[in-house]
Amino acid sequence: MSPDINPLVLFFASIFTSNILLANFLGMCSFISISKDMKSSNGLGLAVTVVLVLTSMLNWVILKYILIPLDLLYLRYIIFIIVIAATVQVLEMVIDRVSPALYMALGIFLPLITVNCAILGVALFMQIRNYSFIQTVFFAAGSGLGWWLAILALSAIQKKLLKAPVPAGLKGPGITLITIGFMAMAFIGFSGMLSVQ
Amino acid sequence: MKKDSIFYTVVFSFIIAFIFVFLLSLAYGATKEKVAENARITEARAYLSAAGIEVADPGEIEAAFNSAFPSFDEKAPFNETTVNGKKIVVSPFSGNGLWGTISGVMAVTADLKRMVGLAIISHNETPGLGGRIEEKWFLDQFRGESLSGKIEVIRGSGSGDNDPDNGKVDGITGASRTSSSIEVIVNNKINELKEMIGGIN
Amino acid sequence: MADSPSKILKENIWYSNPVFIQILGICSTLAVTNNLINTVIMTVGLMFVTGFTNVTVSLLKNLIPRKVRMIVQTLIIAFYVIIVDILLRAYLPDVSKALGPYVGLIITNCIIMGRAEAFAQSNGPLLSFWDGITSGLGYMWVLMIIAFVRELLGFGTLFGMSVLPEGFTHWTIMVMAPSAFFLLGTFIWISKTIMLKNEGGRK
Repeated sequence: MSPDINPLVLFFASIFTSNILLANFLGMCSFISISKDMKSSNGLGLAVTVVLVLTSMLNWVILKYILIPLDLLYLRYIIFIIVIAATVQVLEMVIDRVSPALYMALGIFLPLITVNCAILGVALFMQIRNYSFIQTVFFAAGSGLGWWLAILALSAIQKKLLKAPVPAGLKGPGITLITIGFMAMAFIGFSGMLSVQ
Repeated sequence: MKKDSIFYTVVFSFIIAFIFVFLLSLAYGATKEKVAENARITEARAYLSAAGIEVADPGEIEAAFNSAFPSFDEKAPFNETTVNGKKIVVSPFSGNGLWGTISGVMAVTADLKRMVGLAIISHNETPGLGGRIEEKWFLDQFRGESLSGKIEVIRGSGSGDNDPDNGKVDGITGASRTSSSIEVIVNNKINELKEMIGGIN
Repeated sequence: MADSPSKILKENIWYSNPVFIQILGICSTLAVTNNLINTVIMTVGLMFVTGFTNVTVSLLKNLIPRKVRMIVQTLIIAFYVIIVDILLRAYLPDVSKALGPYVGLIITNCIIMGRAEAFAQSNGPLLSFWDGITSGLGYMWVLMIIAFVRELLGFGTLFGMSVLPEGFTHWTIMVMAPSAFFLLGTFIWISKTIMLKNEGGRK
């Protein structure tokens, strides 16, 4: 039985109050290494959102109609990660055939996505929280957009930081993490927003 | 045979996937009983803790549960029993948290004047934030709370409000949605119990 | 590439520590660092998975076809993570409940894949196991320090036991997500400053 939560609330909660990156720390690896450049951040954000929505739908169907009826729930980690890897691979091929321009923009990010914890994280959250199909789609879309928003904001801040005098030891990942900390604090400020359902 | 031929790749993938899945199903089968037992113990402990009985040793929980609830019917909406000479009513509840279903057990006195205790069986709230609803300091605030009015979860000092007469408990700082969900769930359950039991007596 | 065990230890614990030098694999564990017990369990789990994945990859390295190498490695990692998950469920149900989906997320921890690719591919099984375990250790001690500060200031407890006096005002921020970023950032700052100083001294 899935919880009776309005999908729209879930959608906004996963963008703002419980941002997958800033509150759940998921998808950090590629986040820190890519966020130096706005254009690539944008591309990666888009790719993550698309893959998130696609894989969470696929995983939901597999979970509901294969894993649960056959009592194979304990295999879910393997299944989820293979679905994600396969989706990314297929997506890469399709984009390459259909739109070379888009491939140029997205192609290099796609392999990075398989090991992005946010994707697997969303799949596991939707399983553990028992979301319905609609809830899953909204939650995945919200998480993807939230991640996109966070990486765009961070890359913009990083651009400003280039001109700032940062102590030598703090340069690079140190200051990036502290910046993310401030962003996470700012996002907590959204939590009052969602009590109005 | 060539290592990069398609045939080898396919056969290798199949064999390795088969071996892993086989080993996993063995491990799963071997622990299935134990996991089911753990789930039973968790539930029994929630009932005991709501009724105000602390059992430290996990091995004794089932025995303590059977002696505290001799005629327990898990399909009934609520169960009555006597703890320390007082008649109490225990009943499972569930409702929506921020992320998913929160379920637990509530115990109230049979005259519906006081809450005996609250325990959480499962939830999906954020660890360290909303997840703290299962911590003792939070749940202990409900012990003995007066049920004459609505129970309010308020923004307090964050360390607990242990006055049983004011109908107020402190919410969890940083998890206002989870705190207000608990407020709704608890009050719904109280009203439900008042209707059911009030109707019988 | 034949490094001695003690050199591997030093590299993984300090000079190329997976967390503060390579900034790898923080996603899956940072979330549970407001509690020392959960952190220990998660990092021990990670150590176990990294060690055994390295052994398995090292043993199979000549058998794995190139085209499916990544997938097979992921499969191996997922296999050990599920073993950890099953063990936790059966023997530490409370911990397993508190960690929830985060155990599964060990799969996407980049350290495991990174060590399998960078080390186990080209080294023998025993050395690979050692490399995996020490990488896990390097990961563990950093996160333990963060968890120590967060639990102490956020709850006034260590390993769930009360250590600070009653009147201590809990720092709520330490319980919440931003503090993990701040602490890790500060940690990187300190360690990098020490390293820069050492390098300067050597010149």
